Amino acid sequence: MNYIYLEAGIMGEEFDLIVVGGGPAGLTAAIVAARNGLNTLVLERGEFSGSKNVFGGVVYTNTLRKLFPDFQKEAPIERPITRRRLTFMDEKSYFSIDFKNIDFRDKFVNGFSTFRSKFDAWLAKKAEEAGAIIATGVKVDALLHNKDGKVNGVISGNDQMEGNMVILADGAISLLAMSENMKGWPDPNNYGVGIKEVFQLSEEEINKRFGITSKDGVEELIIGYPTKYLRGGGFIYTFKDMISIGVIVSLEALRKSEHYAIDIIEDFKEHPMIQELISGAQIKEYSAHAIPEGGLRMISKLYKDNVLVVGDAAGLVNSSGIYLNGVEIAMRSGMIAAEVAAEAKKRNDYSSKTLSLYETRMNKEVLKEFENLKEAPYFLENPRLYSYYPKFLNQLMEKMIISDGIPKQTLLDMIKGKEKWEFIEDALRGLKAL
Amino acid sequence: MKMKIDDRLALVKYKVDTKPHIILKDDRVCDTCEGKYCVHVCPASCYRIENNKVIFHYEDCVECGSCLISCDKKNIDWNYPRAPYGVSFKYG
Repeated sequence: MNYIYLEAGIMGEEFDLIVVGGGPAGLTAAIVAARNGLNTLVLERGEFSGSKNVFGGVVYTNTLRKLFPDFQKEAPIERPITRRRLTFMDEKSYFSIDFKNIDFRDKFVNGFSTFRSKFDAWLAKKAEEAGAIIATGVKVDALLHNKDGKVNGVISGNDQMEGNMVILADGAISLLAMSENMKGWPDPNNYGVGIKEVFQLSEEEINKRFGITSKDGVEELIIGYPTKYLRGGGFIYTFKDMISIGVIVSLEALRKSEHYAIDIIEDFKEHPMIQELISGAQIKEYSAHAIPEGGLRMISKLYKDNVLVVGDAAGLVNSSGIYLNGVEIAMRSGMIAAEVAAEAKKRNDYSSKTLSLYETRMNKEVLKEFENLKEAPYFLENPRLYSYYPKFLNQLMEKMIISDGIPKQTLLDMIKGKEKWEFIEDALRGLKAL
Repeated sequence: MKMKIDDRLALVKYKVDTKPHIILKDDRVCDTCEGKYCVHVCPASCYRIENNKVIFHYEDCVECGSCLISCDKKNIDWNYPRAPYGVSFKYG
């Protein structure tokens, strides 16, 4: 028997709910379940919540506000995101769409940068305060089944823990959802690999280099050059005295290319415009993780008798280019799952009859967004978006502003014959899909 | 300045298990695999080609799952390390 369980007093106890995975989805589920009086156990394989997790850098706050209306006072906020840039980059220039809203500073924190080691650990503390038991350093190897084949707990090494129901929040590679036939074999067309490096720089220097104040934070997505013009994008986030620089590359595009994951981020960092941001900064960490980005077409089965799937495990990431939201959607799914778990306890029915409410509510409250954007993953498979348009747009801008004595033309006339119609067609498709 | 992957991995905190959590099921499948996608996608360079053979080192694995997703041959017996082993990020 493992001392961790003895210490937590969890052996032999039967739980209403066992949550596998102490990330944003699982911990939100635990908080809401515990608040509803469910005897809740969270099992996290990392040494603490957040230690196995990687993301770019921002938590959007819709669900967090519902959970903790005063989150701004206590959540580990590095910087509120007040500025959002979408950039097309080639070897020597970039073209950005730059949005800034100073209301997002403190009047309404729409999103903030943070690190998972801080944010997830903080959520775990809140879950404990709500009454859930969090056991870290526990890896669930399989689900426990009763003689009828229904899930009634989890297995970790030689230990078993019993519960009326299980929420799978075990992340992007949910081996458990796969073994329960709720999720198929992962398709490389539906995943990207995110690779990130974190740099330390003084707060003043970050403010100066990004042209912001200490009340501001920047989220930037960069198409083209960062991924060697492969499907995906680069990203930059600002923290108090840190900057994260990273790339997300489609695994399907990467594996069939001549490039290697380990080189892509290093070459991106060599770009003179990135060098301006990080020169003299000290690198603190290198990290990587797979990211579900298939949208609606990859969502797992969400429920079966005694089991719900939430967050990345269910494929619930909106990564359609314009939107990049994983954590907040994960939290939304965790909240809904826990409310359904509370209903199941009330009815004393944990079968799919009650748990199907989760799918009904997800369809209405979360998957509507995925349905709206269901064409996005297909649209974003178009290699021209990454290999052609970043250069095209920068050349267009150059033609527009260059002083070379050639009579200026209208925007449309600057684009030649066949390219013109392709551009119009892609632009219209993009407007419809995104 | 470009950093070598080994220098970048030196920044990552690991507690290395004595036995691997990922195993290549059948060497012959890797030997004859044309794509060898694992080598392209692994961000920790755990898969390297030596003498035309795919050599796998589990020690530097960051548990991202990219190899599992990318292997057409389903030749990777992929698992997370047992607790409390593996990677531990500070700024993930």
